Amino acid sequence: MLIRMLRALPIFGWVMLASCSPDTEELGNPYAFNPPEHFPSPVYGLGDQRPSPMGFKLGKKLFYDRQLSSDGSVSCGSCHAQVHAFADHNTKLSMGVEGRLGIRNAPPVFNMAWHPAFMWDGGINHLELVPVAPFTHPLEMNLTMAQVVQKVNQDSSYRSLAQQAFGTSQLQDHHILISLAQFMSVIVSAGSRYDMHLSTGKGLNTLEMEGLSLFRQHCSHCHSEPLLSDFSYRNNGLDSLSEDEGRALISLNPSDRGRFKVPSLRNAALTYPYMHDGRFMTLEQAIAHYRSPQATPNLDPSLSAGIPLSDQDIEALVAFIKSTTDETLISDTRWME
Amino acid sequence: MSTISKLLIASAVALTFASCSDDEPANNDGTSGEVVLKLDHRWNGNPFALNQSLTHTVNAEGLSFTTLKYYISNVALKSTEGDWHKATDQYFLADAAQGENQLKVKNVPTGSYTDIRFMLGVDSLRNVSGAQEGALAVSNNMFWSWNTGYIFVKAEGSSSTSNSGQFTYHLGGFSGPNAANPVIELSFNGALLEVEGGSAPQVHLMVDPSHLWNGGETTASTPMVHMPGAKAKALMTAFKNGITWDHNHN
Repeated sequence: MLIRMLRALPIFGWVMLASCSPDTEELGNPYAFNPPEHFPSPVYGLGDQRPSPMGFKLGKKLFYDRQLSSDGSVSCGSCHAQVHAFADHNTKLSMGVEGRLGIRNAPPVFNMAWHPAFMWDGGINHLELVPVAPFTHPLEMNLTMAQVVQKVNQDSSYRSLAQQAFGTSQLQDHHILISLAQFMSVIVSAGSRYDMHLSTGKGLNTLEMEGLSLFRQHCSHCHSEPLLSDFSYRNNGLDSLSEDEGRALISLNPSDRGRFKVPSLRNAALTYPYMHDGRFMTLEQAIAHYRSPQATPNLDPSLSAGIPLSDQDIEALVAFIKSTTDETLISDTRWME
Repeated sequence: MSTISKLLIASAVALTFASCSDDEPANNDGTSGEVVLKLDHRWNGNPFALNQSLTHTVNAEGLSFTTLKYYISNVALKSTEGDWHKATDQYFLADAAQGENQLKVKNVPTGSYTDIRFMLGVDSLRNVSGAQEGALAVSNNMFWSWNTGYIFVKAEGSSSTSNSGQFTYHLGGFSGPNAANPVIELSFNGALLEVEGGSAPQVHLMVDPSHLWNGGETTASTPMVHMPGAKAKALMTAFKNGITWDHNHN
């Protein structure tokens, strides 16, 4: 347990890794977590959280295991599909066990190691604890964590992975959660033409460059580069009174009503529909919303006058956003079901 | 290199060493011992059990508990020299379903002690450090999945006066103004707790859950608390006031 208290200090994590880890094959390991050079420091995945190949493989098996739902109908991968950048299959809300509909649009699962908090309201403060919410939500997978542990341990096909990852054939809940976090942390999206542009100055055409310029002028205040989110909570004026309390549900602060975590716009062409409730089907609709956000007491100050965007501007912004689509993310066999 | 950096690296190395060791630190080398924290559940001085019909002395509500669980952590003992000795990294989940609970606090340095203190709940560090194990495992169902944090006290049961016929208290909160993990400090009133190498002296505490409703709340006015906030804080403080020291056995 002591190790885990030092996770904020990656250097010391390395010291411990060197002294404790039986796995010395870090270099050239395809399951290693490799933060791209043009990204900031991650929150997760270094030091004692550094994924191991076996932890990743165990996490992948768990991620795609439909047994881990009360009626055996859904896995994590059901609503977080690789072809959609690990968002749902272009549905507003997601279907859990017995056809039950969830309450918010499923966010994509990539670059998770950079998120300081998770879900639209930021209620979950650590990547390892993210899976607990879908596993136990009655509208999603509808199990207790004890049931998840039991199902995994009853399935003999997990044993060798468990043994290799954690040196035990009987997994406990923290093993399961750490493996899933390792799997998720390795899913990095940094292979788009936009990334090529950031690294080399090449890769974007004229329209996309125009879009990037507009983006930097109007959008990157919240959708900060290079992750295209600053992970803050903001009210973007979708409604004069938000039905969904959003961040206020967590903070209990009325001024947070209708604030949601700023989503990354990477791969957004694949993850429609948009917003916490999936109300906009197209990028054009989502961007056009910012011309005249609803007046609401918690409206983000940067949006109080709306953003003046011509149809041509929107076309350029859409072209730029499409340049962030990462073909390697959706074709990489390491995280393919 | 600054002194602070040197210290940090030195502690990192020390911790590395500690974390790699497979063996529990020895308890029987004469320098440390075990202390048993006995938790005796009482209702206004009388024996308390789950599923027992109870009447609250202040508000006269008729009640019965189906669940009473709570975390105790960060136990420390005050030596006769006035120093606090902390039993770090030990987390306990007490459960009234087990009747009298005996929490085994390990690695207490040998010596004479005059006071005890502990946290009712789980410190903020463990609430922000990802998946934990043992008493803190998520599968113990003392954890909020949607708003990360441990449920420090879970009290559930039936009530003759609440609209739903039930009360459900999931109390917790570890940050900022919603922090509801009070530290309880109890004097042994002049008695000493003697920790020696081989023995396991006992600190006998009384836990009276009727105190939940001694601070003004009733199950009729507050049938359900299931998130951090002012109500959770008030009920945690009330519950805390029901925990008292009774006696020690050396």
